[in-house]
Amino acid sequence: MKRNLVLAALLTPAIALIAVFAVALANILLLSLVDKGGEFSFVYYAQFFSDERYRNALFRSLWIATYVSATCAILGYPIALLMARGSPRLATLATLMLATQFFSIYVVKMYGWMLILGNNGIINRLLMMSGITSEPVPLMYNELGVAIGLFAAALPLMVFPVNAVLQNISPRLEEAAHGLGANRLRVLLTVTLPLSSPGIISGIILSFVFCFTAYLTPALLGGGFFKMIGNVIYDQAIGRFNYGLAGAAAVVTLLVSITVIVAVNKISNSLLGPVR
Amino acid sequence: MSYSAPRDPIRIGITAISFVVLAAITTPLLVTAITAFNATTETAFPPNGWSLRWFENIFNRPELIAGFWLSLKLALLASAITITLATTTALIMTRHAFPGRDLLDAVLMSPLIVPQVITGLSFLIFFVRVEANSQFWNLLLVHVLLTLPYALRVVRSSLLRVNPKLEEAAMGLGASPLVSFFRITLPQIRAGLFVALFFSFVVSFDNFTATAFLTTSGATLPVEMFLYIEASLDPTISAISALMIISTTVFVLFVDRLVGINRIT
Amino acid sequence: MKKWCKAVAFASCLLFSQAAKAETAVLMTWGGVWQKTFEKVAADFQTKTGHQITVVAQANADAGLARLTAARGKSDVDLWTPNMVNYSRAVKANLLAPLPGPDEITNLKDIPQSLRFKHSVTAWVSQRGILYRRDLVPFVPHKWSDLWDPRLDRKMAAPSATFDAGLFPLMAAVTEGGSEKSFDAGFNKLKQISGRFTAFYTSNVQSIRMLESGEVGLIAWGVLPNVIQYLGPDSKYGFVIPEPAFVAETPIAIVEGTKKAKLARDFINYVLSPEVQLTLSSAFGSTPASMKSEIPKSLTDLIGPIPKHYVVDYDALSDALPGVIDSYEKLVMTR
Repeated sequence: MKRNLVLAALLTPAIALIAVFAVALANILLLSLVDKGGEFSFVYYAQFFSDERYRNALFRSLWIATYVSATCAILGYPIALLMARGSPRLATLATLMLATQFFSIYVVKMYGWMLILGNNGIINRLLMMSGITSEPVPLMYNELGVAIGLFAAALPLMVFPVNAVLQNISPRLEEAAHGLGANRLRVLLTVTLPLSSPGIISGIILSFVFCFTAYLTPALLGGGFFKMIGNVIYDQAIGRFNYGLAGAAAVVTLLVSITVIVAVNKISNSLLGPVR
Repeated sequence: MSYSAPRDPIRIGITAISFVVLAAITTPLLVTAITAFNATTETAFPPNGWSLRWFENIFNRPELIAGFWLSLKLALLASAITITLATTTALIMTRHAFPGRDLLDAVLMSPLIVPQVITGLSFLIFFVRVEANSQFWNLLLVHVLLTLPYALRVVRSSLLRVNPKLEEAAMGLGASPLVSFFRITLPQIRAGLFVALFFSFVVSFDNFTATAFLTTSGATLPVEMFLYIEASLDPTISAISALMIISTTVFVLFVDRLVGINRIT
Repeated sequence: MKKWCKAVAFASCLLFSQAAKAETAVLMTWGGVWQKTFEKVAADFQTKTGHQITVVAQANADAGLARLTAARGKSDVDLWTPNMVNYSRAVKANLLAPLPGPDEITNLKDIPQSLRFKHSVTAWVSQRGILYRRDLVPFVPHKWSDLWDPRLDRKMAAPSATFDAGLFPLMAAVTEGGSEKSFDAGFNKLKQISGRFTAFYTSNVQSIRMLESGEVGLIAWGVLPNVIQYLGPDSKYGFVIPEPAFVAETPIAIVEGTKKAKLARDFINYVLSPEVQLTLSSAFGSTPASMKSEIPKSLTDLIGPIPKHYVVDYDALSDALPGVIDSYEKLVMTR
């Protein structure tokens, strides 16, 4: 009994913090459910789902978040491996590069991409000067530009958790497997990968959610053509003061995100055993 | 990969892919940093002439300097608070299965998944309603809230790799739960704790959208930088970015000397 | 901060005979050239009166309105310069204090009646036009309908839906024979040429960046104060104001609930004085609101004579705005 009290006490600060957040959010939820006349109504939700702009923004946000976080997982795992298992010099270099990128201010990262991806940006200038293309390739102000920007911003969110987990897996396990006859690839796939899965799950969730609710990257790199759900909420709340619609969009976004997280947790539990 | 020969194809492949990707994502930083040296008021690449004037200009803009100090204070305090909260919470959640634990996990992740525009807007209205007037404490609360999910996630997955029986053994030998935590568990999750601390600091320092709603006068550095970019063409912000890249590099190298950077990331 | 403290202390000593305690009020305006210019104006004001005006920046007028709305009644901002549409919204939301008359703000008598409103007075009149790079455009535009020219395909950027509160669609409507009450013809034309826009910008500096980096050769809707510093006989940028001109009367207003009402009034009076009107005009490339001030010759030298402007019915525009923004997003900002 005393033990339970202690446990509850230890959990209290975090729960209290979340409770404050819940109250603030509940206010927005309330705003989304009360129409202009002060009556309870789903009108904003109806507006949200009936307008193709908002539906499209929601689906394309889901879609881009899915493939960008998958790409982060595929391309980020080797980096985490390098950081955790590579030769000290290379590992340090890799960590240095990733840390520097992660530590830079988000806005600046995106403006840097604009200098590279634009019609008059570095890539296109190189392509045209070398004669590979005669017209600029549209790498920006479209989905591709946004995907590249999101990938660059989300990659550290994948790599760091995986690396943290890999650091705690003893290399002796891999040596042992190798000693028992498995080749390096097999060791990687059957020993390292499964053991590092909690890190991969963390990384996928963090990068997915980041991409899904992104606002700055689509605003800067999308050129107005690739609006995501974060932009919809911002435009409605700040541009039009339509807190009802913004609130409805926010509630929908929140529900979708929670569903994805719970689903990923459940899948990982069933594949890998319950989280201790 | 210490068991594999240095030249084996898998190792080479992993190294190659890693550096290609890393080079790709760090190029924008390099390009931006170089634009800081423009002699004219344009943020051009390649630069129109070379000059250090924009580095000097940072100090002519008091809002940028004040922004830096505010961001630093906030980030230090927020990450310290967050790591404490995250550790206690993660310990309980990984060691004890109680009904609603998955739900609690999702709820504690919620600051991550609620779009920052909504978090910012909600708190703006909330703080006005409850007449909480101190910008610093308001921002601190929101920053702790925003960094907690990252820290929690990382500490939890770190704790999952720790065998609780070691703690039980220590307690069986007479150590109190607190001592066994500090002597047995803590050293094992040290890497995870450092990642969580690092993460929290950066997420707080770098935070833009939610913070922008809550700053009336004297904003954090990212917000001030954004306002500056939206108002002026000159590459002063590139100069700040270049400085940050240099200081991050120095910091990381320094920590590597001390502890070995790979252990803590 | 220390510099200000010393200046205030010094000025207070000078003016102690006025037995006035040095006060501070906060003005919210746009960042960049606006903030910098008003900082200079505030410094002069402080030298003259000993009172301090702190200038804070809003990312745009919508954000400024959001800030006032959220802090209703307890705002730390005392003075505000929005655009007319957000002014109209703020009035409807009771966020602004009624503006006193010429007995309290003497310089009001020099402002034409059309620029005086119940809760604000126009502080300057800001020009819109087409901004282009001489070396990147296939021809020099002179008319608004030049924007419909196919030679500009993939060479121009247009404003986003919420930029400048519906004035761009209004220009398109007027150019195609419509008005604040009839936008259809304008939207048909904009939809027809929507594929020719490379991107949509949400801020002035964003648009100039696109021009500077060579992403586009022409900005369909430019705001003169942002670009005036780049214009000149040797400049690679050109700015043209086709007829009818579209202008933005920029009001200055006192926020409801302010505790610095007198200081706010005094500062507004100062802003309306001929010297400050000339300062603003030269810095912004705007036309002064005060009849006692002339358009600086440096401005007309730069961009030529300013044509007659279209008188906007802001109430009608404000009512139509949500629909205009929606239509713009659906019809124009798509590929």
